[in-house]
Amino acid sequence: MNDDQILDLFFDRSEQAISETSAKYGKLARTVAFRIVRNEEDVDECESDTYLALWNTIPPQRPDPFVAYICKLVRNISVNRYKYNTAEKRNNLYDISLDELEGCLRGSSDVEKELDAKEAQKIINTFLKGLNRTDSVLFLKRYWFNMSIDEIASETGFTKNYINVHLHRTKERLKSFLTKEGYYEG
Amino acid sequence: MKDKNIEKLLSAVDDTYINETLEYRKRSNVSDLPVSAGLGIKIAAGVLAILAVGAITVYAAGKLLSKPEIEEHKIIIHNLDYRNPDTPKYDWHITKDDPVSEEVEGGENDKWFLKKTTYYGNYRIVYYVYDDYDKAMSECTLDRWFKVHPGKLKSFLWQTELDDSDKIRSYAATAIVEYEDTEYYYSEHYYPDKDDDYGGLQIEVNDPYNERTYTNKNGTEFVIIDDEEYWGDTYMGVYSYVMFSYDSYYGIFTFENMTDEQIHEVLDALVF
Repeated sequence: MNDDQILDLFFDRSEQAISETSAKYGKLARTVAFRIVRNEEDVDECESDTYLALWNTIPPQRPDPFVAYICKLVRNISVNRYKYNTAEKRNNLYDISLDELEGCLRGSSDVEKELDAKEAQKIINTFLKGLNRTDSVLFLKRYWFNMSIDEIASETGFTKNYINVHLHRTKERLKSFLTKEGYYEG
Repeated sequence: MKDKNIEKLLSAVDDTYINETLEYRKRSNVSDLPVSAGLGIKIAAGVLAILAVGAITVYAAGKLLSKPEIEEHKIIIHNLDYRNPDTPKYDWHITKDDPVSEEVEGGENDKWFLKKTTYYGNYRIVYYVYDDYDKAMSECTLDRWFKVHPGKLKSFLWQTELDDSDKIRSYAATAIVEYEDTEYYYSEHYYPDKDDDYGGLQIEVNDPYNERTYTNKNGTEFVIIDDEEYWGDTYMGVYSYVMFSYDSYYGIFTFENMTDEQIHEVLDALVF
């Protein structure tokens, strides 16, 4: 069943929409969740919560591409669950990749501006637009999908060193971009 | 910047970039080389991408080749035959699932020692791997570029890319050659459909420099470009690139830490 047909089922308020979504994207949703929560029980919860969120938001929304919308929902739900579960404990690959990014971006100033959602959207998407496709994909696989370097290497065919070099350059570019835009004091 | 901000940035990524990341699969033969066959995975050090841009030409006595262009972190080669930029291209659909592959080892009567077919969304790639150039060229439909390779051929991989109607969309070959204490490798690409061809190819590199030309013994002029290669923090040396195209063919050569004299010897051996 294609995405349009699944979305039609949501619009018809047919519960088959959930089973079709699960059949087509359940595995992907569970993979995204697992990379953050690292616990099968939580993965089940995150997956269910994602279907509920889809049910509650479609309609009125008719997301295109549907799969990106699912990934965003499941990622947000998983991050929230992970934060709730772990409080101050930081021992997960999600933290490691976030620390990696934070370590690169941390400025000398103690007082740092908190971004609002609109600013964040403008900054990150302008930055990604300026990257070539490969760098953008590697960046998101690592920091958005929380994939390990091994996983990225296996999926893309690039060497681990190649990926590390490109991620390092992309982080440097992000740092200069944020400095230029006034969000980072180097 | 606190991680709260980082998470905000990541949460604000547009769907289009997420979708692009999901759909991304490296569509060059590099990722399909079988590790089990003990082959080095090389083509150009960079990433290969298809372009839709026009052509810039340079005259050469032996062959009319297009001249590569350097951009930030990129070397680009254009297609001289590119003539239909507005022609709708095949709608490549790359599955989000892991691709399915079938692998067969060559028998006594086969010239190849490995055949592999990998099924992606609405296309598949079939390739054959050889350890002998003459055997490979007796089956490969691409132009023969060398009578004999300077150095020792390590492997030759020939692949075809077919769409869901079994139409062949591209041919490509990748050869890896041991040369003294180093290696060079090249890929040869051909897009058979003139009405559905591409504007060019590009590879991603670090900081290309030292652009120079060399006219080989057959009177064909090549452009050689250097780039310093790092793997992580390890300096790997200078990689030199030669890229050209003619008649919907593309060539990309990578020379690892080779002197100009050694590179010239290889270019002199090109017989197309």
